[in-house]
Amino acid sequence: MRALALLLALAAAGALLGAAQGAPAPQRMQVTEDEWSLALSRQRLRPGIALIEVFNLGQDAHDLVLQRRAPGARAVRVPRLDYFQRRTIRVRLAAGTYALWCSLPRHRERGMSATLRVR
Amino acid sequence: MATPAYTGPFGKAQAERLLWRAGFGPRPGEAARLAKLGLDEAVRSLVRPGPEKLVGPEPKEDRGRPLAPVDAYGHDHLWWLDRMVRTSRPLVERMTLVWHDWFATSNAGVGSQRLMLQQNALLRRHALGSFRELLLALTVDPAMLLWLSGTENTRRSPNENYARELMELFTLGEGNGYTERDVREQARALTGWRYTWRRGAGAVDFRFDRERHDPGMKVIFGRRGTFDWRDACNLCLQHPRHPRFLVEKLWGAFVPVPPDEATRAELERLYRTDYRVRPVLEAILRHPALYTGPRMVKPPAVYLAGLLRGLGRGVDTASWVWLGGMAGQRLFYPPDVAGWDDGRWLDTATFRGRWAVANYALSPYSLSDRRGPTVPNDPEAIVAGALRVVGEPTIRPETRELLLRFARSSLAGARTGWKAKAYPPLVANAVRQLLVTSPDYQTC
Amino acid sequence: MRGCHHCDEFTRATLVRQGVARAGRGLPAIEPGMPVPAGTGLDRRAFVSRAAGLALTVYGAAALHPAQLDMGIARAAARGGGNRVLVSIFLPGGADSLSVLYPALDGRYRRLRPDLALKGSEGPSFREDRRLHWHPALKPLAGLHQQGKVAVFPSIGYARPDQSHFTSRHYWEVGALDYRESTGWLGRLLDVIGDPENAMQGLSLDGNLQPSLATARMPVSTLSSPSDYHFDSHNVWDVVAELMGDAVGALGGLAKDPDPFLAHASRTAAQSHRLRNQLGRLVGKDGEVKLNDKAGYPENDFGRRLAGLAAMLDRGFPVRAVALTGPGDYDTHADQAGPLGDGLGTVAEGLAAFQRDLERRGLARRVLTFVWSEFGRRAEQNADGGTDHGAAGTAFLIGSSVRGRMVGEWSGLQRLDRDGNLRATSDFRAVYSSLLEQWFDVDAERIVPDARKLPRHRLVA
Repeated sequence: MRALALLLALAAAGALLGAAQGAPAPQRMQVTEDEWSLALSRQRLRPGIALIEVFNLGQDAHDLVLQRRAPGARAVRVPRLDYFQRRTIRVRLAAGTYALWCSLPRHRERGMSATLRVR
Repeated sequence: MATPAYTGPFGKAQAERLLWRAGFGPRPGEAARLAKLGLDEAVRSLVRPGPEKLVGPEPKEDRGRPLAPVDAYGHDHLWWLDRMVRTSRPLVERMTLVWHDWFATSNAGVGSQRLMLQQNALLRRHALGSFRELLLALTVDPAMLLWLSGTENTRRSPNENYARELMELFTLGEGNGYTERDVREQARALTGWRYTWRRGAGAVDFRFDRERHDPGMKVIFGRRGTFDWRDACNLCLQHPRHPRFLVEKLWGAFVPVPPDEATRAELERLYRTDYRVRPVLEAILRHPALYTGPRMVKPPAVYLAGLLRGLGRGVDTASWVWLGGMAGQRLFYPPDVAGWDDGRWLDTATFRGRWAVANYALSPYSLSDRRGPTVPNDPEAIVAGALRVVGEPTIRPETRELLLRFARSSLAGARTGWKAKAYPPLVANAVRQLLVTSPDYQTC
Repeated sequence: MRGCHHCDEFTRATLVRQGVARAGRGLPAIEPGMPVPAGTGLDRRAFVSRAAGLALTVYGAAALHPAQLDMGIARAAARGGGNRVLVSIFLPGGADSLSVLYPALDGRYRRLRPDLALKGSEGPSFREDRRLHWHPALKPLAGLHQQGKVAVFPSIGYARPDQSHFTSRHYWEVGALDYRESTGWLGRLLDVIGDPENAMQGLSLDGNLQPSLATARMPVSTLSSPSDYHFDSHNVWDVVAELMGDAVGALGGLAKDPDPFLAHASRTAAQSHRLRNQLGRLVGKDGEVKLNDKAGYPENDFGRRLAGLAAMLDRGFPVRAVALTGPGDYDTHADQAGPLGDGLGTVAEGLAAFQRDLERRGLARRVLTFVWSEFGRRAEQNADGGTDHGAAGTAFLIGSSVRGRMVGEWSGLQRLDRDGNLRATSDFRAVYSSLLEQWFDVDAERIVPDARKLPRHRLVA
């Protein structure tokens, strides 16, 4: 089963190659979560598409909210992750300052928040 | 007096062993080319390589995107695996792996791929250079400071973690020429390192802070002084038992049986002058014991990198991350500070892991009666084809005979009908899998 | 499960429990005062036991070399494969005792449960208390009860019941009303009667260490499925795949090579080949554990786990205490009727098949199975067709050696506690104490803190 999945993945990789080579690769960032902190693998990103991997290294479950500090800015939510689970989201970033935090009760207050600059 | 050098025939088989022990196995044709150089030149090409060139397809994750070693889980492992596969300086990469195992730091305790990769660059920078410089740099390397509590070691509350491993695992050997008091005093000498915790970024700005350092008098190995972290390292290097520890441990990374007395003494002499590793390595790689002694089990990362080199395949899937763990070697995650247990690379669990690694490595090349070239209904041709696909590794005649016997018996019932067409590709796939999981290919 | 503030806690409790026993790291409390699951911080190591032919994760055996683990299991099997066994099955979420055994004709029941009340004709009647009927899905269990093989605890719990899943489950697991206790009651039993070499004496059957098995000194383990040990090859199938397996063994047969490492690699291939064949006997062509068809196990994980356990006991594996989570989610705050029936039905079918299988294999007198949940549920249903957290629950002790008599009477609906919950008429710690003494011949005071003050019930025939 896994071998089959791999082959399909390889085929897909081949098909995507042309497109991937044409467009610049999206910028990436990792957010690791722990009790009680968030750590960003980079503090600054460029405006545009970004792949953000959220990785829960804590003992408890955590989620993540990402929101630009601007009136009416939409919040992007990564649902709750168990220990050692991770999930990658694709977001389009506008120039500005983004706040990131875990929205579970009191997690933000205990330190699970961070700031990302996009310019 | 010099260490003895191997004087027997230096053909493809010997060159192959050298490339597996001092690197990640040959690319197709590479062993024969190296053999033509002769032993001295062959070893020199490894020990004094030119500038690094990365040869072969760029690494990619499954969707064809480039790797993001700092920003995506597992890409640290893939990034290094790619260096192993594509490097033109295999010994540098292999020594980086040796030092990773020697100063075994795990991201399980560090929690930052960026800091782990910084440490990896440090190991590579000093790979064939001075052990003294390596030890000094590593002692205050951020990943190491986090891993062995270096930043928790203060004058008010000394932490012996690094001090103990510095002597036990890095420079002297367990209980070899030091006391518990030396451990405590070394810990005091090593005090003073700290970082700043920045919200959103974690530990940053690792630095020496005089306020945290214990400037008092210490007694280490019977010597008195107001020692600091540099002294702690130098005292270990100057310890009379250190050269022997180093050369034996280094030798053990390349040859599975201990060196004879004369060789060991000469290696110590080579090392002692200025702590340079290169001349020691050169002597080990030329030594008869490497070519005439028993085989070694390939470490899992070496096994996979070499298999990909033989196949001509680049890193193109993140599956190598979990497969690495299954085979017993997830890079950047050694089991503990003592590193991987080289004596236990192969057991029933990791054998299955290697089997899965081989299956994944071979699957893009797998044959069927619907695609790929026609496979002849001929056992000899099938076995020869399997050897060709992975770059013509040398195997024992009896192993070859077993593969032939398997091919023959599998094809026996497939002379006519649909099986005559359907079976040969299956048998060819199976022979390849058996070949690269055979005892011959697991060892070098 | 809308409108339920408890569910959130239930989910988090489950998540934290999945993190139990991660090496060397303590768990932070989820809520202030919440207990940390027993077994937290035990080191663990995965290995494939050649003696047992199974993949195990071993907890609390840091001092043992993997080779010793294997030898220890083999030696323990040789010494005493025939010992008594206790299987603990946990129904997660708080199973509704008022549905498990329901007072069909009681007017109060029909008033408290306007949507959920079951009719008398639906489930078999309970012969020890004619007011009560078994939930229809529990018919197989009623059958075993009829044969005298089930002791029923119709209203079991403890004084001052705690309505947190997390806390109440913890009490049951550690066998004490003490949130600081960090070893399980079965773990402490193994610390007394166990063998420092036998990692299989305490066996968790569902992947994670069950906290009730957490020991202080003795090794215990969790079992992965035997079907995990497979060898796939892409585009190799049919006869060729079978012959390839034999060829691995043949390559392993070249172990006489004078080169020690070549010989080692060959031996490993041979051992792997042998192990796969051994496991193959437990696993069917579909890669699942072979069920004993004659016993009629349900085709699900629960059935396979019990089938595998029976097969292991039959092969003389040195198992003493087993723990697993039963199928179903019993935290039924909304629309409970369907899911509750499904869960209970799967449990009952599995238990009946297990008992049949043990009897067929001649093992039935050696095995007792205890089925429990952290609490029962509120007598009055809520507005969502479900029930909220309650107090006294139901438990069962099953086996051929059981004295099949009810323990403690059903406490009834006429005198609920001030939260509107059923009152307990028996204490789970008294059950533990009785089992420790009657089944394991161990002084309960060494294991259950308040054993001296607790009554004993005659549970073993």
